[in-house]
Amino acid sequence: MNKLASLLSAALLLAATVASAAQQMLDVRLVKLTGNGTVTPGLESVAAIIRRNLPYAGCALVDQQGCIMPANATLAFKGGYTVTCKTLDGAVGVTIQKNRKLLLSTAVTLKDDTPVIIGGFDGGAKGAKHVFVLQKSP
Amino acid sequence: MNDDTLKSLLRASAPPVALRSADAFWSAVERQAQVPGRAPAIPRRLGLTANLLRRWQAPAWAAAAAAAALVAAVVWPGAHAPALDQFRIGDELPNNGALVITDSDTDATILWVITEET
Repeated sequence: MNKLASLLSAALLLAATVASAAQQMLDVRLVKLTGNGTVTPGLESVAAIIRRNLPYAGCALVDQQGCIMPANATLAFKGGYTVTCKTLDGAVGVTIQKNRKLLLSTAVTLKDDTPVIIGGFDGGAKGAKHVFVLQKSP
Repeated sequence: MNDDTLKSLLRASAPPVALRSADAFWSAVERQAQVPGRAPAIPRRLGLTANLLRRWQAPAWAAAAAAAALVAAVVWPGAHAPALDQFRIGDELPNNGALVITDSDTDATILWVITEET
């Protein structure tokens, strides 16, 4: 009887592990853009996109959160930001607030691992800007 | 005179007939068809097929391309959808509008809010 119970629990654990491995995650990163060239490791590809399109060279990770896809979560970030993500009709509705005041609301369609960068909010230091990088991760 | 005798006499008096192979026969037909001013039998049929091909080639390619696009739209519904459908900037954010940038190298989208300090 004990053996049967342990086998069943092992099977359930395995099934849960496989299911969680198959689930996609929505990765949301709060990134600070600055004029200097410092780039946090892991943000090189984001920094390259920023450098090609905006007058910022530095790319520093401030905070990182995530949720399971389809998204339905409110994520709290450093600096008083909250990002609410909700999947609806294949797109992800994103609402960004700071200190409970609405900054931006939009709907994004995430393709594979291509990031969507939303921001331009005041980054505290002179000339610095905050952006959120939304990206699906397998 | 019976029938057998009659047949043997007829065979003996008939001129010899040279038999042609099938290849030789069709070669002769093709040569005849290439003579100008004569209605060629086989090339005419070939010509008809070629005309049909020429006539329907473009519509066939167009139909194939349309079918491929339809299949792609069904299989990959978000393949050509814009990354940002719409956006609304909060009243509390001092801004002068926003800019949607698509990175040419990665197809990544940037929604950049132009604030008053920018």
